[in-house]
Amino acid sequence: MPGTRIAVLGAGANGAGIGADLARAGLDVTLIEQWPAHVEAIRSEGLRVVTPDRETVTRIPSLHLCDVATLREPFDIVLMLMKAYDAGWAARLIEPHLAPDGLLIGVQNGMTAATIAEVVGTHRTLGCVIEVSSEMDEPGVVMRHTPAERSWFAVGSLTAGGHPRLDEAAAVLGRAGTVAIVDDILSAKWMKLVSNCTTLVSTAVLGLPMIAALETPGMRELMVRAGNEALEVGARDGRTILPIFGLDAHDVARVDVLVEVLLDALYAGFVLPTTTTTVLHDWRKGRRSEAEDLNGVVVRRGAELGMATPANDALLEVARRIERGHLEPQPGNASLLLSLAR
Amino acid sequence: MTAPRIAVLGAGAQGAGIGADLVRAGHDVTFIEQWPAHVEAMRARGIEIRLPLETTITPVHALHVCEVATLREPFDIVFLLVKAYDTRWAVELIAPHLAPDGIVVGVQNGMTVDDIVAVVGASRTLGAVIEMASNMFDPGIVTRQNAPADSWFAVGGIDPVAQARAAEVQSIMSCTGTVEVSDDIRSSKWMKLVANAGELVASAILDLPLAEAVRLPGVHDMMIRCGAEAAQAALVDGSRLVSIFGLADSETVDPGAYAARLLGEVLDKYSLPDTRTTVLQDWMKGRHSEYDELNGHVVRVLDGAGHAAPENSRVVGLARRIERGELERGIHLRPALLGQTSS
Repeated sequence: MPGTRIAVLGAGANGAGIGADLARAGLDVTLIEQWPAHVEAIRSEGLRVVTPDRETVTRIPSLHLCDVATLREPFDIVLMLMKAYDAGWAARLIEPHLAPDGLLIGVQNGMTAATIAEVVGTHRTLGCVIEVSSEMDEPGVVMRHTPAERSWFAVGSLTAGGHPRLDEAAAVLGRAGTVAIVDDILSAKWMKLVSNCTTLVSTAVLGLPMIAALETPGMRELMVRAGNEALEVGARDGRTILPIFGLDAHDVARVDVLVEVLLDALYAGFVLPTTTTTVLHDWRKGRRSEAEDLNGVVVRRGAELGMATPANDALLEVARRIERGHLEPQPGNASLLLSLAR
Repeated sequence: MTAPRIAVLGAGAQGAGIGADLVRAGHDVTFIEQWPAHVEAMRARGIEIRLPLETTITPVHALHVCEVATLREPFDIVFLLVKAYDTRWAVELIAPHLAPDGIVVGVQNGMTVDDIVAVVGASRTLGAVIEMASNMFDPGIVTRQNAPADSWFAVGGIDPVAQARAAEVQSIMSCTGTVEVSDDIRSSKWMKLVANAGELVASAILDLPLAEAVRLPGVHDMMIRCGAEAAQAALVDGSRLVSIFGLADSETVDPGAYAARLLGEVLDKYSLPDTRTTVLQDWMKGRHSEYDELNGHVVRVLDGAGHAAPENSRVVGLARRIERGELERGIHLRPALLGQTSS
């Protein structure tokens, strides 16, 4: 790993937190980020990462997006932590700066691996599942709810037989959490999508922390339905059920309760009482969320396969109303959601 | 029909200059730009355009690229003024915010039309030729060396649906220059590339304003040879050598004469004594330049047809080594540029 040039493309809450772990482990890491004030804050004050039991300040070279055109040396490993909907353009932006034998790893939600592979080629792409919980409201300051010992990743190649640099990529990510190397990363990412469809948009439309949203009457059932729809659509596409979040094969043996097992594992391992989801963070900042890349993927793929997905339809519809400015995220949206999903 | 929602994606020297004219003509324009300090300056003070005879300051609505994710209403027309090498990612960035019947107009050097088409489709793509000189070194302040009366554009599509929009775009852009509709935009873009191939990178390698570079012994002739290779590439590519910046008598089939005439027009009309090319401006800022999309494209097209492009190959080789930090730009590179020494 010495001499390996690493970039974190998208140094938001998760990206910056992971970048800090890598930098503190002595790796050569550069942050590339689109929020100007955040880059300026990291440059002047260092990056502050606040976890439940400690706080660190780390100096990390940080570039604005517009500085990419000043780069001379290519990167060997790029961890992409952009929103799923930014994966395509971000891959195009960084491709000229990825070494011929480099790796672009989509450390993100959503089924972005094919999008990345289309730009840099399958031989330079790894898929990744990320389970890290963090937030950022103030530039330069990451509130990381899951420090490295409670963070989890899966990585895998898109080609049968793995990838010669898979162990190296896993070792890099291993500085920021526990890493599983999986043979079927697309199925692992779909399992994460099942989990995402269960919790991310559903809790965000209520404007509530994840725990409070789950306790809202009717919500747990709706969330589990959305997860099961995603599971069924994936099964029809040949996605295999895989243990994620550190579960084992025994934990995921019963398909009928799988979504609830995932949901409970997520809440037990990665959610603090104050944790809200990335979707709600985006809405609070007036930004577009990943709803189309999560529930929207299930809805569209389900439609192509002739499968009804009423719970995901309802979640997507309410998310769209919020993003058009017709609704605010608030607890009262539960009744709308439940009636739409009927 | 309501007023079109217009974006200028890439509000650098050229984009901001054009965008300011669009705003002053009363259009609904959003600037989208990647340089944070420039966005801040435009928000605080408006965009200052220093023209040959006047300076204007225009309040504009400017977004940083990170704010694209806050957009709710789609754009009807996106004027794309990013570097050729940024085309693909920039169009992918804006594509979700382009109306279903919206159009992207690539107002750029280089043969970028197909890159735009690959993302938003031929029916939503217009190519454009831009001939004006500007520079920007301080955020919020553009020096535009060609006023609208002396700026020239051509727009056109490769698809009938897009071509039907060309007149509308021509009308909107008329506030910022003379605009022609091209019925063969690929050839029109090649015309500009023939001009660019000769002058842009070569003068930057010498680290000189264009007008000074051409006065060095042998350089003018070398630029014409370089342009002639590009004209040959245009013909190999199936394009024609179309009229130069709208001059009725300039159509020809002779690559050398065409390149000479083009360089003459650029020097006469679109270059002041201190005009530094966009490539040199990039290098002065430590940034990557468009050499590969300009001279590199000529080399690849000719190579694909089994032809050599010695002049353009030399330009590409020198530019690449300058960008890698292996060579310093300057007039000491003149012999290497002219092929008189090995470098």
